[in-house]
Amino acid sequence: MQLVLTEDQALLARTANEFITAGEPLARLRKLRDSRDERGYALDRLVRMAGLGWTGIPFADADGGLGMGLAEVVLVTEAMGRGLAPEPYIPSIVLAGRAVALGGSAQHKATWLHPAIAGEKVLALAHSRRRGRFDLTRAPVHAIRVDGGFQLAGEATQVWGGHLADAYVIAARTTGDDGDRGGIALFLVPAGTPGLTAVRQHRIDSLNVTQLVLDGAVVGDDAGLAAGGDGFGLLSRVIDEATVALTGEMLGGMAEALERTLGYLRERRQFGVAIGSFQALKHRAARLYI
Amino acid sequence: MTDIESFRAELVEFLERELPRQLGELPPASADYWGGRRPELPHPNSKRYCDLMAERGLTAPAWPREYGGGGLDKERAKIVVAELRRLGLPLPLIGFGMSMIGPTLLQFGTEDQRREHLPRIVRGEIRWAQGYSEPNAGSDLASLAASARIVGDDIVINGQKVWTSYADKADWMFGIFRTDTGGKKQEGITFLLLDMAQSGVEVRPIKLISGASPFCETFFTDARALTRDIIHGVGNGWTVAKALLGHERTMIGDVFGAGGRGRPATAGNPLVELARDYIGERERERGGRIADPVLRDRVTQFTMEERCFALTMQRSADAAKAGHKPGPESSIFKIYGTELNQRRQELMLALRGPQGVGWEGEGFDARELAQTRDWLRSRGNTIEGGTSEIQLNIIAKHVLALPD
Repeated sequence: MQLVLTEDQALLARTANEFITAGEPLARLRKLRDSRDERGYALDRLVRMAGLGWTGIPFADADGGLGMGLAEVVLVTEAMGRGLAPEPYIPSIVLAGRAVALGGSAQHKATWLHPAIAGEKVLALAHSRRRGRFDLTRAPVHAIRVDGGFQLAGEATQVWGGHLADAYVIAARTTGDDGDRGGIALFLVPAGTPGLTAVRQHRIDSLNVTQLVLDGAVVGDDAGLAAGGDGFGLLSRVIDEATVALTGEMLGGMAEALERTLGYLRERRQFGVAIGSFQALKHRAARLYI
Repeated sequence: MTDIESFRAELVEFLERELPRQLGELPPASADYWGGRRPELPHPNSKRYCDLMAERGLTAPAWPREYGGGGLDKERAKIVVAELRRLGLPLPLIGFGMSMIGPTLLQFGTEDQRREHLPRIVRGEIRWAQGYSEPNAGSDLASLAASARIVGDDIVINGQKVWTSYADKADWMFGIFRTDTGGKKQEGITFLLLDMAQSGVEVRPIKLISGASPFCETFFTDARALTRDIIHGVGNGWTVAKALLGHERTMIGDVFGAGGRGRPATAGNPLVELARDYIGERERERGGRIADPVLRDRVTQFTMEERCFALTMQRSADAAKAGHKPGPESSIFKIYGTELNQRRQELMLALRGPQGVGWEGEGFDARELAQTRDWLRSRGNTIEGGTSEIQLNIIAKHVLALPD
């Protein structure tokens, strides 16, 4: 494997940075936060990201995607991280979208994945509960067998991109207990299903997250993803992929923060000189660069 | 068959059939051979292996043919190294000729100088020492005082160098000397080459905390060099010296990053093996996790850092191969590689526990005793070759463009 960007990748990275920068990212984010915007991001910008092809990156041609991979996803999330873009690219595409692509039926893909790639619908993945502490075996919801399907009960927390989303991929335990990798199923549940309520949550990062309460919502057998039954395996895989995508976002954010810091070190003057001329600060800056 | 494939096939034929036919047993991968007039042989066939490889230009595959190199492009040169590694063979020749003065002569030497010195480097005939630091010129290298006075075609040298690596085993020295004491201190420095086999040059090894003596003091008393061995002109030595330090930094980073490089991610991790050996495993039936969770975390964290460093170096090498200019990331190799090595040594010491502090004699095996000394030796890594503080200054100035 060559660790050099191809021309196509370099072009993608450039376009992504231009698009994000042109959106005055910080001012926009502060406005969304301070006005307590219910959605927390701009739907029309998500549609434009789809228009640039970003939402199709991690999906096969047959699923309506561009057949590219995580490297290209990271170029997009790196640019988004630079500008703290709040659009739910990772939740709708890399998490829930990939779960549908990997485990969904043709019907699921036609109804939910294709519109998500088009930016017309937003998906979200509900996989954790309060005090779940990153343990994917601690499913947020219990699923009880009923005639022709399952009844869901429980509460998922901090569902990223979940507020005002159009459908949810929900991790639910059908058998066994916390700690068991078996017995976890994934269900695709449309918003508006009776017995499903979403309540906006507020975190320090002001991103769109929601608490999803399931109280007797009933889904049919056809709502299940991962027909093979390994819900845990599917969940682990999309979480791993999203973790890589998130590291891209963090890298972009760190690079931008370093650049701003360096700019200030050159510009701010004390004792008659730029503070960046002080060796104590030079060394801290060089350590940050490393 | 493509050109590349037939090149590889021919090379493998030579390495796998021709070499053993001529030499019998080949040196193992660990047998570093430095060459020189009084060569040390880590394996009885080390010199003959080097000679046979040099005949084909394989000691310096990427250097031009006219100077004894292989004249290979980067892709083919990389194949040579990859095949040697695959077959468990060492690089035929290492040392400061190959890694430091050779590349510098290719960059700054005249045609005569290259023809004079490069073929003797690639054939391993001359072992080189680096005359840079002095007792009063370490981090502030440009304040060096050892003097070179030009008398006709001769140069007369007086003064002292220190921390001269392997000077006691070297035949020639490349170094920087003061030819002018007026003006800006950088401008009075001249880079020159001299034969160390003369009465005006005296070398005394320095014993280190690890017990080894890789460094020396070198004293010059009316020692002689020739003006034709001045590189890049009188008074221009600082430029040459800095360029050579760039080669040195890359080499040091390369050495310390080698632990994670080229090894597939799935291959055994020596640290994990060491930890299993000394600490024990927690649950054999579940893949043998290291019993102590704190040390397990440290091994994992370190392994990730090592892997990141190896990938960063690979990214830099791939970018260079793709024709991009060396990126600023290369400036971190020396500081990061040496600090990584210190963390590795400290971690290995922690894993061995009391078995890691033996000095000699009974109750310790050979690897444990070697580990003690390696650990002590690693303390110098962040000082030699430009201290970490100097590396940070270089990054702040040249990469981050912070003001003076």
